Amino acid sequence: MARALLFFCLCFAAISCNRQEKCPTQELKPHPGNNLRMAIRKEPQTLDPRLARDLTTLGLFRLLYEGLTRLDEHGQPQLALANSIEASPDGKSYKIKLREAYWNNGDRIIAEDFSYAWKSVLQPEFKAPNAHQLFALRLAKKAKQGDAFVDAVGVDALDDETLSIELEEPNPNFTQMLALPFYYPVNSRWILQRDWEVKKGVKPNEIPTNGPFSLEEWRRGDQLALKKNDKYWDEKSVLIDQVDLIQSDNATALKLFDSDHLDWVGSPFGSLPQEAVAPLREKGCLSSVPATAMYFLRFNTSRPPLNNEKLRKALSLAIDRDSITNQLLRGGQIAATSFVPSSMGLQKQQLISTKSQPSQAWLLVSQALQEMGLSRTEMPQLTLCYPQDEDNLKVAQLLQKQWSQLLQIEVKLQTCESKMMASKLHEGDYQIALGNWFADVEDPINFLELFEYRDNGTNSTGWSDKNYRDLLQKARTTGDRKERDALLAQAEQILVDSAPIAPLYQPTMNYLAKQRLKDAYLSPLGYIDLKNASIRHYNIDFKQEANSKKDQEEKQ
Amino acid sequence: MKFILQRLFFCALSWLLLLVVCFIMTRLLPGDPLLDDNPVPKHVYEQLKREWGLDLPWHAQLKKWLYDASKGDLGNSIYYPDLPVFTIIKDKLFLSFSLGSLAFFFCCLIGFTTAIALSLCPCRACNQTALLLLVLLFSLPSFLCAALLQLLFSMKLAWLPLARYEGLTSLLLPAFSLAIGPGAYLAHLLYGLLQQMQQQPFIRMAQAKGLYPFTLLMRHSMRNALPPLLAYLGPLTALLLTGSFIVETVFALPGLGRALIESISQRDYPLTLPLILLYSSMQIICIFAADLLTLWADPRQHRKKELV
Repeated sequence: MARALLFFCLCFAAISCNRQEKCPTQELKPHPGNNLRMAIRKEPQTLDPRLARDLTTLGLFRLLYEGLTRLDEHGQPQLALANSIEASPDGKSYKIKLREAYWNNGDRIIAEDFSYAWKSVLQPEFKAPNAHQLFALRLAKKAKQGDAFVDAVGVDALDDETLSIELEEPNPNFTQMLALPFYYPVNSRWILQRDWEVKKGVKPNEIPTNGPFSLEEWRRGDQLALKKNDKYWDEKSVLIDQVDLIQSDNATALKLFDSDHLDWVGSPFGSLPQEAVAPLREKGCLSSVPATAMYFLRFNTSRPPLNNEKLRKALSLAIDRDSITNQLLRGGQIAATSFVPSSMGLQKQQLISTKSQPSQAWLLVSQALQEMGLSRTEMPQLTLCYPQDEDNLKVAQLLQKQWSQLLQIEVKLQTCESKMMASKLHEGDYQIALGNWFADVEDPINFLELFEYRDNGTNSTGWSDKNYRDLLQKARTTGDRKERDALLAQAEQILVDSAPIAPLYQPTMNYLAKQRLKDAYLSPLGYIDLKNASIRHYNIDFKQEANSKKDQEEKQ
Repeated sequence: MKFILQRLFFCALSWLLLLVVCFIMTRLLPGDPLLDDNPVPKHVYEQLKREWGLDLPWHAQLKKWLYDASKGDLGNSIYYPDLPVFTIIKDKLFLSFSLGSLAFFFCCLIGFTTAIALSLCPCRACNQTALLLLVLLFSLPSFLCAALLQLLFSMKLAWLPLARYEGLTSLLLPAFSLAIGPGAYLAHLLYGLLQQMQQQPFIRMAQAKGLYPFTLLMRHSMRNALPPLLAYLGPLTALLLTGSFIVETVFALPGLGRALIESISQRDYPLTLPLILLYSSMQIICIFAADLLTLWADPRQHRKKELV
């Protein structure tokens, strides 16, 4: 019996000893096909660009659809379906000439496709979750609220090739916004013939798309196969024949990547297991892109004791953001110095210290307690809700420890799954909640407008400020970029001073890509660009190449 | 016959009660199916609520669901609004059924062969060691089992596919992961039952008559050990046939187990309820079948019931 047990333990030890010295990004064997295999955590919820809501669906649409412009690897808009864009001197009118391009079902892409798509979203009864992204158009907001006719909205198809756009206010980022999925066209003739919204028996691969890839097959829960769209206007630039999006959880995806069954794991369609990130980073295998996003705490300002501004500020000042990013998470995250990510360059100086400031925080707590008429011992326990996730748990535990040690404020932790969390925020049934925001566009206002109105779905703090709102409104009306940034910077100062939120850190998007994949870009907005990506083929024996590389390295 | 009709009646009653209880419980779960990390504008939220009938009281929702279900319309998934619930279940049913059947086969293979081998083995020390190993095996969590098998057979030896459904060979590891625990328990249970049978006077009589041990075991002991075994196998069959969320996740298989857990976490009511009802129907059918097989295996049960 002892011999049997010893044998069993030795087997187990042999299996467990798995020291992988080399980077998993190195290929184990040549991959014969010209298809890219990526891991995807969740399936898209819809294939209608007007109904897109989550990041996965929006990311997928970047492969299936294209708009008037397209963002390059530097986030700058380039002409796509638009052949030319003429803006009026006041920046409120645009005349866009379309290039000759086709849907994958052979229909020509016409100006009416854009007009129809945008106007249908702005119909009051159309259940578009992101209709507010189109409110830059003249009368768009009023039309959505039912106070204006949709036909009066500032977009018209002058003819098949010419689109006229009128904006409510000049917007220097408008050409960038035209690249977003919210401004994509739909095949108006196909929809009107098929009555797509009503008849839900349409097969996914029948839906017309106009991007570099089209959906060939969708095996639910398993895989989406995208093939190169031969009718794409720039199909010569597309060098990959097929993209397979394989659905699996993060741990299984990493194993598939290790065994060379996948070419890309991690962001944007998934994430790497948290325990794998630091070791991969140390080996130098990991690729990272700082996301245009922010993780932050929301304080419920409509309920005591967090209706006290000094208390909220104290809690924010007591946070050691450097320890969260450098010691706890160690995934390349950037400690927050403001609410708008520092990469957007809105502020010239730090609004928030990355180190904790215990003495200031302690003083503010004392003042807050005095205002509330409470003593130290009467300070109620606070509750911090965080979404169920390993990283979030660690951050919540660290915050609990910091607040307890520095301010003697006891905080209870409450884990919530995503639906519960969303309900709590919607109903205002929380005290402190950990949340995040990923920007839709590289524009600071995309962060600041979250808290513009008290009843914004993205606000949930119960906070609002008239000066703040006025500054945002003014920023929207000015076409001068410098003036706009100055106004937004002032608004951000108000937000940080009032502290309905406490920024924590800017996340990074981590991913692993096989060395055979070239020129694939992940933008800070979380979109992957595969238009010019290619897969290196081996035309010599794989072992020979590996051996000759090894000989060269030894000689050096 | 009377027994069968009685059983059928109670099955139907259980199923209906389960339907109502599950419907209420899913509605009582905290969280809203229409809210998530990306909030929608208020008026869109109200529109969606009306469209999905979530603004109605629960009994009106139940009535509507029953009416639609009686016409064969299970509606569309809230999370995948373009997809009918029936299509989602149909697409996953074959895979889960195949995986479950294979797992059941492995379970019986492990269980019966191990129990028979142990019963026939004269070495007491070997039996004790084997029983200890069986206890270890059925204490092993299925996710650990799955991960170890993946590591050994896929990553180290590359004998079998690591994950995803690519044919029957890709179901071998997941089926084995599912089967090991129950198979070990089955072996342990059957061995205990067979050992009890060995002490029965009629078995001793047959031994004295000179029957071979294997014949004695298979023809006499096994038949008598079947009824309690069937009571375990009935629910186990249903459990295996409907898949396991953990094993399906580890092996990236798009099965019913994963679909159920994901639908619950998304609060996808139109999908959750039919899945739960499918699970419970499988349980009810398998337990009913086990009862019938028990009657066949032990006719004395039938006579006892007639007397009652």
